Amino acid sequence: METLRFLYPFLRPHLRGYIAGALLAPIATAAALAIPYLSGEVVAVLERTGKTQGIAALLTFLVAASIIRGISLFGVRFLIIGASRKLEFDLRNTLFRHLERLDQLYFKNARTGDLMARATSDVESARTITGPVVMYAINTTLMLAIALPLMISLSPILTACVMVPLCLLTFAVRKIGPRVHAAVHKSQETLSELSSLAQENFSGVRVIQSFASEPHEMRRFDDVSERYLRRNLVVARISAWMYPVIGGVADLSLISLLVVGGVLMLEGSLSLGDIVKFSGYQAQLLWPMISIGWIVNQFLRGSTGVERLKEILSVETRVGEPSSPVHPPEGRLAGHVSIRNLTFSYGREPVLCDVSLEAPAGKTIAIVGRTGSGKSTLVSLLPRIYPPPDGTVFLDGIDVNRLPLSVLRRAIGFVPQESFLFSRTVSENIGFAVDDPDLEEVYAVARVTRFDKDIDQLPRGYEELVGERGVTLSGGQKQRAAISRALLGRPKLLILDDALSSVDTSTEEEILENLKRATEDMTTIIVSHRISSIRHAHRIYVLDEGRIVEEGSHEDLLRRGAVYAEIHRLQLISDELARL
Amino acid sequence: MTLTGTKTEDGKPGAGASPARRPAAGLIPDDVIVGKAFDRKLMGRLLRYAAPYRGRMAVVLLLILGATGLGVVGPLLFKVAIDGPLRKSIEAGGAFSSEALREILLLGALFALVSLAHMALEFFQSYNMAVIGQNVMLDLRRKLFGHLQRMPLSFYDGNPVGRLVTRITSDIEALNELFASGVVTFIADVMVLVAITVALVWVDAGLALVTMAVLPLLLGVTFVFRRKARQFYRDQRGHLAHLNAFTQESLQGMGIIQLFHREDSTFTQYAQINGSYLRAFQKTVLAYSLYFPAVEILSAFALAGILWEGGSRIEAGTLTYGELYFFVQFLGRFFQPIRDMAERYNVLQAAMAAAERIFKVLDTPEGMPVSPPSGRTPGPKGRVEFKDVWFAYKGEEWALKGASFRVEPGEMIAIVGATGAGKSTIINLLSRFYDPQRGSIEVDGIDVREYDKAALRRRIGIVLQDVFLFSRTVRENIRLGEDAISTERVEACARHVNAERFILRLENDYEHLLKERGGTLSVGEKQLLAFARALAHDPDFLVLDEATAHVDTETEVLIQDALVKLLQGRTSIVIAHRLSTIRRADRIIVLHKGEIREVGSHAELLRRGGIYTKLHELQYR
Repeated sequence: METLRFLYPFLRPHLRGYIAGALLAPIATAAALAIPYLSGEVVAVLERTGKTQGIAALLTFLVAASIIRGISLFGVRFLIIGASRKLEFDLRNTLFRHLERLDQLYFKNARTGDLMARATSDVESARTITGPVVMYAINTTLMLAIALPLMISLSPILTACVMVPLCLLTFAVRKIGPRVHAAVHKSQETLSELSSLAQENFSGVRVIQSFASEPHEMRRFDDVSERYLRRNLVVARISAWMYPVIGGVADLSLISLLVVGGVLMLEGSLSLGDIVKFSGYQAQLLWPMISIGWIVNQFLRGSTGVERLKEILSVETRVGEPSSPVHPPEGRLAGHVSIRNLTFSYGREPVLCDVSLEAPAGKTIAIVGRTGSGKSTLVSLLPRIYPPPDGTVFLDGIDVNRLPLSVLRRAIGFVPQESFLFSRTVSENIGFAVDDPDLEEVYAVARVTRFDKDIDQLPRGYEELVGERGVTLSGGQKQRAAISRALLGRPKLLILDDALSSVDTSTEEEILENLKRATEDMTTIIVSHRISSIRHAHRIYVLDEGRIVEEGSHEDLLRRGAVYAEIHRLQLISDELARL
Repeated sequence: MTLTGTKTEDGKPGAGASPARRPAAGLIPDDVIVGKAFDRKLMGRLLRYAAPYRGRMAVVLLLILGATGLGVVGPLLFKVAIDGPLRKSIEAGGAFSSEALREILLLGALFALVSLAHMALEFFQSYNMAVIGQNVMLDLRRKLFGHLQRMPLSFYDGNPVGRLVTRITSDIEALNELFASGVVTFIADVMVLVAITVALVWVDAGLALVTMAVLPLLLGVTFVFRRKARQFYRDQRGHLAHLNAFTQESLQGMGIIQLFHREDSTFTQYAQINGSYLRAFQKTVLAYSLYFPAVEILSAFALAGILWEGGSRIEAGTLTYGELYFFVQFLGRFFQPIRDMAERYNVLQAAMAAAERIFKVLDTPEGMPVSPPSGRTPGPKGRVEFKDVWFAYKGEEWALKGASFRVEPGEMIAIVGATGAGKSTIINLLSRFYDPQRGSIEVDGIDVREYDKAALRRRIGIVLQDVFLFSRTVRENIRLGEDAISTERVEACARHVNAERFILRLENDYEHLLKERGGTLSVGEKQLLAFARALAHDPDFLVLDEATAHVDTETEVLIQDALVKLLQGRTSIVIAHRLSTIRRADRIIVLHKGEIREVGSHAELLRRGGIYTKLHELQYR
């Protein structure tokens, strides 16, 4: 019931299709049953008169009935299955839209594989429940409602004798179905064990070969393979007797027809025409009776999937639109960042502790520190990738939590540590920030990061596909593409989160020089390990274990001779080494 | 018809309860590639794998033959009943006699027996078919896995692990379909069709002709439907693969989408792809919605034909009621095998494509041949020598440029250098994971290319920086399947290299099941486990790539102590990151940009004030 209540809002827009299908269904069913009825009448006429007179009319009706049956059956299938497909379409869209709104803390904890399973198999179970299950449920109900009275009017006893085996069929399907399902599940578990074993083995092939333990690994693999074979044979055994049993039970119903029908004929209470009708009705009922079991099984199994969908759709985002948004004066932000006494944690342990910093509009500030010191978290709070506490992070003096997300995020150009590119063309990737990017602008921002020279080397230049099916870009190229992408939206605040780490030092210098020119009125926050990229910053903050331990200009910090000065010294040596 | 939930394209329950072969979501699948449905060479090669099960296959064919025959008997019994005991009642309208009753009961009993026998034959037939399919699959999978195990590392560089796993799993499964249901069932379908035709003609040739009059039309409709449905289904699969890939990528890049506030435009794109998928699917639905009614209409025409012709013949007295009934009942059985045969075509096509991919892997040579022995007298046991070695992983990007050095028996040398200097290449070449383009590497004065690879590698113990641990027990991770290493030895070695302390703290100590890649262990602990592993295998040479990662002081002391024990009495090459290790070395080799630039002791090199001095400043303070 819960399942249906959840699905109802999705069903409602397509109700017309379902109703039309349901209205056609009685016609389809009646026409289907008319065929054995008319065949029986033909035989009855022959029996009574021994002549073909009157048969022609009956046969014309029979053909007409089959055409009506064909058309209405087409209608039922197309309307109901079609409606369920549209429902699936809506459901997918709703789910995707919902996922887009969830915050990154959610994605940090959820696994992509799980989310994909929700988006694929769970959506499919919802479709099965609203499509085939509904259609077969309607068909079966109608078939029983019309066929049973017809059969009973001929002979209640024979009806009972034919129907009892058919009910057994429903029962058998209902019982065996889950057993097959369980056996298949077990075999699939073994298959995934096999697949993990192979996966681990191929990943660790170097260790295996260096210890020459291939024969042992082979034995291991054989063990699992053999177990998989045994499990599959269990499935094979169950299904090998399932189909014959279904056939056998159907035969049992025919045997009843032969014996009981035969006796009734001998008594004279039934004619051969009636037997013909009965055997026709029996054939028509066979599949609907089987499908009751199938419907129940599908519904039970599908409900779990739908339940999971419901669960995911009820997750609420922690980064939503503000309830009372504050719009910046004249709709424009200047890019003045201030962070005041910010303490932040993902769980219990604080990642950032009482951090305060200031980046005046148009200036460049830098943040340095060891891996894990909290640099990335700090800059992620600015565009609300993670939710900052109220009253700690401000842009132009406005709490970022109170700015509309579109205003906030359009004002920020963010280049994350891992430069994620989409498998689209180079120019689509660079122009990602806007609709229909102006190509001249794309070229301009590619020039700023010196990415243009690399693009010219690609066979199809800006139209080259990035990723598995296109070119594989090097780490440095990806980073430069990501910076270009961030620049294209003309942000007021540019955040480079260790975004030049894979670029060699001379190119880095050039890019920084270009950036300075291109971003004159832009506030820039640079997170980096390299002194060369931050030495010119207006102010440098040194972060350690979530706290700011030193701050000042490059010269100030060198003069202090503490953490920053040591990082600087090592940097110089390493630069020298690279030149040797 | 099935009840287990495997579905055909319109969601209708379809045939086959075999374990699902759903492709991994989100991949742009190889399996969209469509090959020929029949390739004689491929088929011949595949059949060779079925050859060992020839006998069983013959049995299966006999069982099919029997089952098909028995399947015809049921409807025939109705005919016998109608023309025998029931005839009088038809003519006279009720003529009860105990003899007729007895005959009816007898026929019913006979039907029951036939039905039981039919069930039994069908069971044995499909079970045996599964046995054949599963065994062929097992053989092929074993062969493929063994082959992959022996492939050189360069093969793995060019083939993502995920793709190889697909070969081992889903591709082999596709072949199983072929053996388990494809070939044999196809033969069964043909036999059923022949049996039905024979039965019909035998009962009455004239009426059989009427029945089969719709056959060409039915074949035509089925053929057109199959072709269309296949095409629609392929489109649909393509769109679904696209949709899944897009979803997966969007999930991975959701941070970027949100950062650039592109939720709306991304959604528009998603909805577009979703729309194409919907339309492609609707076409499939349309095809099915048309096909099933068409078949019903055709069979109604055939029924009308039978009743008309049959009626006239009964009127003329040349046909019995039983015969007419027989035809009416048999009509339905005609259609299933034809539909099934069309279905087989798809199975065949998928299997051929899979076979092609599998054989492509099997045909890749296992690589690096062993050279014939040069017959030179071996040098002293325990010596390693690099002679002017040039090596590039690809093209002209030289990782080593003419490296020459010699390590004397029992000597320990340290190799130092910046990242990318070529240090790990030395390990790769020594264990012959790759062959150099120029120059040679000698172990005990014999070129490594002359050694049996396994024998060579058994003599060289390797401890890498990033310790690879299997998701198995601690004991198995140390022993790595070497039966000659006793339980006591595993524990003694672990104790000797100071690993036992933390092992005993684990749940079930040596039987503790490690997580994937040793997930829960610290870097230092993994390092100690790798030491125990190397020590247990007692190699003549030791190659060690020291971990750079930060290790707590206590563990560091344990590692240093273990290292000394491990190096004792072995020729060793250490890629060193710690000053204490370097100091222990007999000689230090400074590798810079693929060349050996400085050689000497710590003090000598420091005095020189060259590359080593700088490295020392950077890394070892």
